[in-house]
Amino acid sequence: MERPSELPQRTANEGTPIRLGGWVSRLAGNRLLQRLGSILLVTFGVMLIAFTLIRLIPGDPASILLGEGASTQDREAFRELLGLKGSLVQQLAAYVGGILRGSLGTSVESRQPVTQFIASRLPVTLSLIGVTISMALVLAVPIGILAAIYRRTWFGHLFRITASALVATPTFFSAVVAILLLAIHFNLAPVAGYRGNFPANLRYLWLPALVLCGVQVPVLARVLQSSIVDTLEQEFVETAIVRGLPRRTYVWRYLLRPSLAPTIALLGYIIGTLLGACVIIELIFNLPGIGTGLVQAVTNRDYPTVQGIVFVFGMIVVLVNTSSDLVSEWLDPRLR
Amino acid sequence: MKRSSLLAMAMVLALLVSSVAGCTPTERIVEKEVEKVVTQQVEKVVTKEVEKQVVVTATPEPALGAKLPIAKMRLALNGPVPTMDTYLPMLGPAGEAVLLATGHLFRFDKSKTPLPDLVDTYSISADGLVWTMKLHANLKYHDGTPLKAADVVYSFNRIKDAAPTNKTLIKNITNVEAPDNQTVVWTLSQPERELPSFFANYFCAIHPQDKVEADKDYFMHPLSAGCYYIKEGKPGDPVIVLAENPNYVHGPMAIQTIELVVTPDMTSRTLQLGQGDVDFVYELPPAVRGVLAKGVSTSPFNIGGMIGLVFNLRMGEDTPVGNNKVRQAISLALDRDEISTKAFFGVATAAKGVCPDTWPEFVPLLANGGKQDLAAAKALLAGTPCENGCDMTLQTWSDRGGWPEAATVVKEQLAKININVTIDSVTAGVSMARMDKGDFEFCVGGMGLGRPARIWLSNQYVPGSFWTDKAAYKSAEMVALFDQAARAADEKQYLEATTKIQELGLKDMPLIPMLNRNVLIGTRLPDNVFAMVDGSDIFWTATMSEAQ
Amino acid sequence: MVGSSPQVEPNLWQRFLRLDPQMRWGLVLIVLIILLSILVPLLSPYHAERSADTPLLRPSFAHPFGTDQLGRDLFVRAFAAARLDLLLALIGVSIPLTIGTFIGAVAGTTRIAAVSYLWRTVVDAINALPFFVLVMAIVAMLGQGVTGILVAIALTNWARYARLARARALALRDVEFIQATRLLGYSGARTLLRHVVPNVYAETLAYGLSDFALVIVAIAGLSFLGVGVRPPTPEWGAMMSEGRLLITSEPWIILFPGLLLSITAISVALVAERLVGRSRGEFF
Repeated sequence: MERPSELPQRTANEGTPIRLGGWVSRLAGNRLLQRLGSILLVTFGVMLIAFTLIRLIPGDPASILLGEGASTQDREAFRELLGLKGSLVQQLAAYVGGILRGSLGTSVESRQPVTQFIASRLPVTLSLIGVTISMALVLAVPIGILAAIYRRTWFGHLFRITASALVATPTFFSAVVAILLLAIHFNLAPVAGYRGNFPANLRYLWLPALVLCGVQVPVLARVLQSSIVDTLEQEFVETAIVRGLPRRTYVWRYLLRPSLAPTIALLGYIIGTLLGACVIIELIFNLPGIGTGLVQAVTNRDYPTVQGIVFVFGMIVVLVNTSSDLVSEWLDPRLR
Repeated sequence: MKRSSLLAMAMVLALLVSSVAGCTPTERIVEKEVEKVVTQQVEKVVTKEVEKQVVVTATPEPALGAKLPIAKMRLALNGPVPTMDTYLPMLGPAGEAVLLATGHLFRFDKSKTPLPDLVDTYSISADGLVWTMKLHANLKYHDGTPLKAADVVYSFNRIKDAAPTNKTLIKNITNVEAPDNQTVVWTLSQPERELPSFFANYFCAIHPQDKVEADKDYFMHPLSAGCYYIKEGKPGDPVIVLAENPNYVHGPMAIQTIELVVTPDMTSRTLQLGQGDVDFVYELPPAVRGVLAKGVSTSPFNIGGMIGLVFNLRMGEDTPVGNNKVRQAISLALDRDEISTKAFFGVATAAKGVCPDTWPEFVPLLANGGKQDLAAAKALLAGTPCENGCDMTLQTWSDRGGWPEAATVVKEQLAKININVTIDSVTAGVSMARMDKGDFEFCVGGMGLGRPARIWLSNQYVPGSFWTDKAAYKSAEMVALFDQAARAADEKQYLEATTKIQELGLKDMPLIPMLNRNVLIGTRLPDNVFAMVDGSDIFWTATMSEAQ
Repeated sequence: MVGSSPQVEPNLWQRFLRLDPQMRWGLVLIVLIILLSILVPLLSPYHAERSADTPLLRPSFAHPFGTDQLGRDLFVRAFAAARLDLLLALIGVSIPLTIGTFIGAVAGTTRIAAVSYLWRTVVDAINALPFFVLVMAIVAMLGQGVTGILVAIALTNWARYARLARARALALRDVEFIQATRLLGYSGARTLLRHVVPNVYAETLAYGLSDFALVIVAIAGLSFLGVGVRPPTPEWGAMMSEGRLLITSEPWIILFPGLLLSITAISVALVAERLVGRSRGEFF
């Protein structure tokens, strides 16, 4: 299939005419810079969408936060205080100016900097993702290896079906079943909540991580299985086995090492999907992470906080995608 | 491929047809047979309800033991505590935390009577315009800093104009000063007998001026002259630990440590209570009905007032909603007991008057005792725009437990007098915005400010207040009655005035009282140690002497 | 063709038997659920939205799934919910599929470089937005119920189809018969509609099937969180959120709808996997 000519970055390498001045074209040709530019543009776009979207939702932060006890006058006064007067363009300009100065605004609800709010919530989500990935690797590697070795037996067959089934099962249902069985019935985990310090937080994180692993482990294990199978089926491996290779070398060289590349490449995808699934898991398990923070901010129409979180979230997603793209390309030059 | 694609299309068609067939419009429930079945079910549900309640609320053994002092209790909060600064808006949980962990002049007891706390004695001048409060001697914050009367003046001035502060009780204070270290003198332009209630609420937390102004993060670790202080954690954390204040003037407390556990999700709170992860939860889902673990008692508790229907009076007398007789007819057509059973499992009980029946101001003023009277309702509709049936849209807040279900039951009941109701279920924020613009017909609302009753009533009937402005209700006569209540010389005159207010309120009917706003609370503690203040979401914790 | 033995087209049953077991089981389950979702509400003596008996009865012969907290029979309710969810998922897949394919085809056939660049940015931006926030915002704007979540799903999903369609359209752009249409002087629109889109559709349709499982889970998930279809309309996610409160004492209220949802999603995924030849990650 012939490669479509599309964006300036490819033409610089292929020599098809895009007329720009000398150093400008070299600058535009620099792939890293283009990537960076793309990241910035996308993140700005995300922030713009969030800015507009949250303001389109009917509902006024002053009413919601001040509640029943406040008079109409009080609400007007509060709206003044929040700086919600002034045209949208003015507010946007002020906000962007703030970002350039390193400030994401002040939360409507707590009058604390949004960066502080995010800094208190992000570690929880990141801990959850960290625990999930560690657990997923610990579970997926042996399962993937076994599935590769025994792929033609009943085990391989069972693995295939179970993997497909687990991936399709809705996460919130597995979460509910997990809570019912492990937290309530067998009392192995707390039903909800969180404590901040490590290692105490592990007690609150392991069950949500396990639920998330229900999807990640099959995906990882399948990738591992196929890459190991590819390696095993090559002739030089069969030769090495016939020649009596020591077991440890066998495991490392032909099972684990070839799996490294696809696993790392997959990590980007995994982190991306985890960030998405985090919101619902945090809500069900009552973890004070960035997902619940975002939902709370939207409910309270806390505009600066919503914008700030979406901005940071968007940046993380874009960075993760870009770095996983870069890593994949580096590992497999065919993709360049 | 043709035959299988035909088959697929046939399946999709069948699906569509059957779903259309299933979408019958809700029939008007008029047949007697159906009514009988419904009544039987209501009875069954009510009996089941009563059985379960009898079993559970019979003297629970306090799971934390009757041995005092109790070392630690864990309290589930319904939301986060973003700040301790009362200058900023506070939703319920933050206010609750402020009342536990900072000092106040007065403190509510279980029946929401303000008792002197930091104040030792106080006297009111004969004309009611000068209040002299004498603080206890040698008051200290939890770290030993002495508390001076000037701190009271500073704290009051700091919050008195803040947007979140409810100014109804303090709007007539013209001056406050501290002639000496232990005395605070308030001067008013008009008498205000309920003034201590303001000081028992969270707004006027006492803090020292020099510390507040010196530390821009003061409110992350505020000083406390109250029962507890923040020992571990800070506002915004999922767990905040409060320890007993060694310098609290009425100490020691019956509970030494209170752990505030933030659990915004109602189901998680319920599960935590059932599993023993927390010891006190308020606002359990009514469906729980005492089906929790041993040692946990659940009981209904009035949390600030009533649930009712608010009407948009902007719409004018020639519209169904704007017509007074139509509203009166609606009130008569409601079967409040049925709404209570079906939507709230009997937890929120039927209203008999404008305010909750436990309040001293309560008068059973609702026509026919609040019970359904369809004949009278239909008779009232004669000569109104609804004489031969009409359509109305009922808005309800989707994020309040039981309210959408209540709306469904109301719809079924109003169908019996030929009022066809469409339900519009939206989140609270969206609904409030719409009501502000007058973009609604009638709406299920909660009047939850709690006592003092005069303030609670004024929130519904005096222009400039939350519900009054939503309904766009204006009545000079009503304002005069409130003035009369404020100036009442004694209890008798006060009660006369509040009774007249309620009578006029039911006559003009900008809102219809439906149910007492009760929620379920679940606790492992005996209620002589920890309870909720009647009609509010404020917690009451006993001092050692109070508990014994 | 002369001399070859007459080929009899195998009938449906034979073709079915030739499928591999995974596909067979998947199809059986899907068909079973569709059939039950049509038949159970029609044949059951109970109504899905009205109370039928004492609340919170255990599963029994009269009520195979028990009754919920308002006394409604859960068996008929669960399958009425199946009807709604399947239909919603169908719409939730068709709309982004149609829009996405069209936009992708346009984006693929155009020769303006700026459009390509704008395209990349917009798609990336939409993917970087947290899905849940987008849904909350759209639902808050459009009101509760079905419209909001369908619009939200359409807005976030169209890009996936568009990307596929665009790749295919790009490949087609320089293929001979398309070039021929240009030489013949066909307008761009005619080329697009008559020749590009039909060729692109096949691939996106296959993708749509695997998307179906994700969309049905997304709809149920959003309703579970309160941002979609709300009670009393029978819908799997809404029923699960109602049942969550009673999970300790009456777990069947949440388990049965959840099981049905999982079975549907799994069986569709199994079939789609075989058809499309690849697997997708979780969406919810």
